[in-house]
Amino acid sequence: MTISHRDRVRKALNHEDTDRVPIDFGGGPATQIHPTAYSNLLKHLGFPEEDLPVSHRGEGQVVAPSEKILEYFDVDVRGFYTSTPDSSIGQPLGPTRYSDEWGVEWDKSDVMHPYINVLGPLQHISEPVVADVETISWPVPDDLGRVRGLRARIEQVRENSDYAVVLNLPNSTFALTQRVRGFVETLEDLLLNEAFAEALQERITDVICGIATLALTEVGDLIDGVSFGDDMGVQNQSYMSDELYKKMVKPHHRRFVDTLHKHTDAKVITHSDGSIRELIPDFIDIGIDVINPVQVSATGMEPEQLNHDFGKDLAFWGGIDTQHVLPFGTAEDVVKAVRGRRKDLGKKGGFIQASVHNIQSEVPPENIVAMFETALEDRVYD
Amino acid sequence: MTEFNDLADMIINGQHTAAAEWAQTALDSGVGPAEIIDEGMIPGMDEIGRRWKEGEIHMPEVLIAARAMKACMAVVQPLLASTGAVSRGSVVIGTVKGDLHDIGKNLVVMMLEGAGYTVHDLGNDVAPEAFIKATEDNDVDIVAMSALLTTTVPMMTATIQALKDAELRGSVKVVIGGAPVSDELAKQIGADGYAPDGATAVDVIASLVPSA
Repeated sequence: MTISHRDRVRKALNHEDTDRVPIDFGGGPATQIHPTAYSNLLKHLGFPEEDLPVSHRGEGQVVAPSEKILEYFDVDVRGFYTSTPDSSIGQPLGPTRYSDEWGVEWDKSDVMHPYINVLGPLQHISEPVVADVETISWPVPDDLGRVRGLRARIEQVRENSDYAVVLNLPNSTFALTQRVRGFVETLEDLLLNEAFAEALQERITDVICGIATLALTEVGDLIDGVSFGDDMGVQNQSYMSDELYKKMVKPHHRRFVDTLHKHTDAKVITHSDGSIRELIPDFIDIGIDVINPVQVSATGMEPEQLNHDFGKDLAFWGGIDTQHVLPFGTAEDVVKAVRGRRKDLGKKGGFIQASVHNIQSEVPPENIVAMFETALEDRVYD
Repeated sequence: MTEFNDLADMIINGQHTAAAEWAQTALDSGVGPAEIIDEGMIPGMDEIGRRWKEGEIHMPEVLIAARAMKACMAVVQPLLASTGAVSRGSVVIGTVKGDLHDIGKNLVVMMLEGAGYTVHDLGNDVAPEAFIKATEDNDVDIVAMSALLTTTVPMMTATIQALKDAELRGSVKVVIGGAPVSDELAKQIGADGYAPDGATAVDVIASLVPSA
């Protein structure tokens, strides 16, 4: 008996066994692919070139794979996004530089490289006070431009296919705070200027809860997962101690996740790069159901141990290393990694396979093919 | 007796205003700037480096300690030139061309400054030629390169080659760091050292710079 893609994903997220590990490619902002790697993949598969946009705004220099490629690899998930609001103050600032609706400026060194945030609207203030929070222009959460056409787009997939659907919301409190205020400044504020850090995070959480409410009121009944990103780790530790997280950031995360659960029955997925083991019990406590991307190359993120410690309460989404195995390993290394993850994360459900981050430009097409084809194998290969 | 431990503690606790005031009071009472750095500031930052490496503290604690160290340095530095204090070594550092990620690199800069090195920070998106020029213009012991994008890692090889072409490779040690970088890669591309984090970077560089 064949199982639908949607049921496969839903079962896996409910920690039930499935016929194979469900796979994601391009269903979220961090499981996509660099245009060069994508173009190489098309060539390798003998597919005709696709008309790829030269330059993307947004955080990554990436493209979402076309429907043809998704069908070829039997990808189980389709991702959707809210749109730019009609009221956005974002604008181009130069050949590679632009500002977004938060007034954050983004730049990149080369047209084919990813954007990074380089300047925030509150970054210049050396000793900010609470009143400074209202000196900048804030996004309008219930701007209808954000959800225009969203329901129709998702309904089309629902009616014409059996794929699982994930709604990707914009980033959450901490990522936005550090963009608006600056990375170093934000981390210093948490210890040296609590009142301001608290007020700024509160204001940002107001906006994102508003956006989430608008989007989920529109499509909350149609989706299987709702995802938001908030990086909380670097390579070898989390951004902050568990103690500081609990005191300064967790209350905002809790409020946001509560808002999501209130407006949809879909699973709540959070994306955080890096070593976040220390904070995972808190994530579970505030109601997060799934973590992405499980950066297995980071300290304390050994998949077997994570599954052992948290697999009962948490599902895992990601797991195929993009720092070493995909770009620099051989196809055999990739096969080994995929089979390894299937064993250590996917034994009894609870695992959706994806690359840990967007597939970078130099990743050989052979490795990409190996990642998906190995995932499609029957479990008899275990 | 001057209680240098008090200053070290202020730095460890990130009390930048108190630390700067302490340094000013010490200078006013005749303590030499080099002594304040060697006996108070460096031990404070050493302890921060140790705690960070051991995972006892995280970036926020490191950043506010570095901020306190800088506040102190601003008080002490103007008097250094006249007393001829010796630097532990001179480092040229930057994120390689094509890469704008500089948070990790900035942490390394803070830790090196805190350990008493002279640091020439070239910023991010640094071309091989810029590393060469900074190496030629300064009496440099170490060239330190950072990358976050796997795509920009080859630029480290290109920079090492440029140092060779400029006949500078023999006179400097090259150290690399960044998320996609490893000890293995360092060996492969002919670098002299690799550090996985900012605190270790100080140890690696200390082992490569001949003590003055």
